Amino acid sequence: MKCLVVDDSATMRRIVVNALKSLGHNDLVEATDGTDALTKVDESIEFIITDWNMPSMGGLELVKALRGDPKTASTPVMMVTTRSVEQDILQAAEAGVNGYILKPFTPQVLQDKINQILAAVQ
Amino acid sequence: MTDTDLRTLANELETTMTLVRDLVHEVQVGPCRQRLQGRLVELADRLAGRPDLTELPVMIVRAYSGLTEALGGIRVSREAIQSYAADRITRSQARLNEVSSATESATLELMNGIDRALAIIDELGREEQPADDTSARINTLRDELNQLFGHLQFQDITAQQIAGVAAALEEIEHQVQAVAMLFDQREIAGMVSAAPVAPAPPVSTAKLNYNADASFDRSTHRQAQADQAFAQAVNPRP
Repeated sequence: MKCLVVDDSATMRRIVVNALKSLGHNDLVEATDGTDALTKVDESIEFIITDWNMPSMGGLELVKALRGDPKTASTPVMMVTTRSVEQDILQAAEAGVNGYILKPFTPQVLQDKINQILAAVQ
Repeated sequence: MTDTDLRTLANELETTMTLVRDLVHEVQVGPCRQRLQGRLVELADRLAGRPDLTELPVMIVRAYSGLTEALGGIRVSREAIQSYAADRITRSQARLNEVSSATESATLELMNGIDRALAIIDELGREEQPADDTSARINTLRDELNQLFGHLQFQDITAQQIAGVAAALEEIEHQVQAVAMLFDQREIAGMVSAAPVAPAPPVSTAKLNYNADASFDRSTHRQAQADQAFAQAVNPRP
């Protein structure tokens, strides 16, 4: 499964990438924020994992942009963020994310959530 | 009006008031009183009943000196506040940036080391035909290292917390400057009309590139609560 990992923190991108690799996902693309992600996303991307708080374009705006484009409207998107307030979760759900994980997360939680999302979209 | 001008005016006023006092005394008790009639006598009597104004210039000068001294003290305090607070806040911000940068560097170094260790493990796995228990140990070691990788998320969370503190410090600096402006002597003298410092407009937290409330909490309960909220958001109960 080809994944796009979006986070302005180089540290977090490596952590997510490492977690995905440990779970057997090795076809990975990285982006530094929403704007960068939009230049790298295409139909070959099968799953997107994005942070929320990023410069230029945050995760919420990115999700709305993806859902507004027919090419990416149905691409599974998971938000991985420190934002745990219920209002934020509601906003993310309304924007169209398929799953929501809080940092810090474990690889197992990441895998479980990916499996849940893929099962739901199929 | 300078200090000298004020003192000159006070002296002139004192002299005038002394003359008026003498005139009143002359009219009241002087040899010409019997010849003066009507309105002049009445005015003299009324002036005599008024408070002694000869002290007024002295009082004004004394009050002016006191005010000047107080304003001077306030100006010194204002400058001290500005200097101390601005300096401390600037150094605190710099220190925070240093911490954030240092933790990122350290984290990257750790990850580089872990990457190298994982590469070694992969080599061991390829170069030998290990016994079952050796393979199990290698897998265990790999899992341990991957878990360690996950622990390094603290750096991102710390950076966001620090960004929140830095933003708070900047806001404090803004407010301190506004308070210090209140003691600007030029503004009090009316020479400078400072526009009121409006508070900085609130920035939507959704548009910031950090979350000041980022938490280190790894409890499953926290994720479970988020899952519940997300499920409710996606499929609201009637």
